[in-house]
Amino acid sequence: MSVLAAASTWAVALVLLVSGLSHARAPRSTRAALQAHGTLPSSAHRWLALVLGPVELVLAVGLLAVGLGVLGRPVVPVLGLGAAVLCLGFAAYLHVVRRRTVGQEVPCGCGLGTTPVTGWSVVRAGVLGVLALAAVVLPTGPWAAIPGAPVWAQVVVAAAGGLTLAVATAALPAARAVPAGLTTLTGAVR
Amino acid sequence: MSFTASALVLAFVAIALLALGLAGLLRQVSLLTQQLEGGAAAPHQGAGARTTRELVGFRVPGDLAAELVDPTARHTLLAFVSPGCSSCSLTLRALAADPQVADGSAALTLVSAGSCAPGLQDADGAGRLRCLPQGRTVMDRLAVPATPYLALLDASGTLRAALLPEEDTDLGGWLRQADTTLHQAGARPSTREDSPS
Repeated sequence: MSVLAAASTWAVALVLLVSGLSHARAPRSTRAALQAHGTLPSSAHRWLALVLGPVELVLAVGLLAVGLGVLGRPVVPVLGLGAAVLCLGFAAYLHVVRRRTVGQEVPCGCGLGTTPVTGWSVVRAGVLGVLALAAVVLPTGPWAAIPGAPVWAQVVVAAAGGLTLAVATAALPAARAVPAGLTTLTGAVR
Repeated sequence: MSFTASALVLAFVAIALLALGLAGLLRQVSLLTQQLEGGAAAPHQGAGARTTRELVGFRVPGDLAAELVDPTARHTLLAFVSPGCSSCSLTLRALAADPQVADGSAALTLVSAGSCAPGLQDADGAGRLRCLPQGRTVMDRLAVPATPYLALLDASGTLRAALLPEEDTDLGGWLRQADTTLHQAGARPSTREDSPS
């Protein structure tokens, strides 16, 4: 197992775990966000809001297992590609939403806080998609000791790196977004 | 890829992402500090600005920008006027005669408290002219203290200058000065905008 593959896989898994739990707990919020986006047909909002959370949770648990090295080769590419398609699909969808709602502030519905859709929401989904592809491209499988790096050291580095990547990626839109009240005249009254 | 190389790549990617986040947070802190230092004059929800001049540097909301900003012009000059106001007529005539307004490099958008007809007649000669009638709500939102009142918006809808013109005000000089400020602002990225694209 490559340290880079494990860290990338765990980063994607942790972000999907948090967003999956959020989507599974509050499908109504997801539905409201999809309605505000006005991009998909309204008939798809309900089932999409119900399905999204469980799908993310399944992928998250699977990717956590991939990072631990307990899943073999046939399953790993499926999970990695699944997560990559989901994240890159999000990126494409959010890009379309952003272009359709220029000048408006619409909720992201990403399950990762309450920041509106911005360019950084698209970047976050894209970064996660690329990280998920790492699980497909880089060597995976059981951990093995290498000279100068016992298994425990590799796992610690991968876990620390994965956690850092997950936090940095998930928090990126919120950290980069400047609240509208600071940059526009909204609410300024005579 | 060796363990060391993998760890290095991992560290670089993580540091890059963290640096982006930290830079964003620092910008938010900077803007909040500016607002705190501005005290009551700072335009935040609920407190309100007393005049448009206090809102210079801030971007108008998207719905207003769509109505007011001429996307084809380098910048848009907003003139807040009222029908029957003699100083408004004088101001509009002086603006229409200005070379920048006449050749259309600066679009002129009138926001009239009533109908547009008198204002459009006074501003006849402006290269790019439009008018928003019944604009009291817009005036309130932009904290316009009186008419006539002038405000200069750049192409992104950011308020760059505001002026309460008087009879002896050199409008041409003010426009040229505001234009210079606008060029300087355009040369360096705005500190109040945030977008990766």
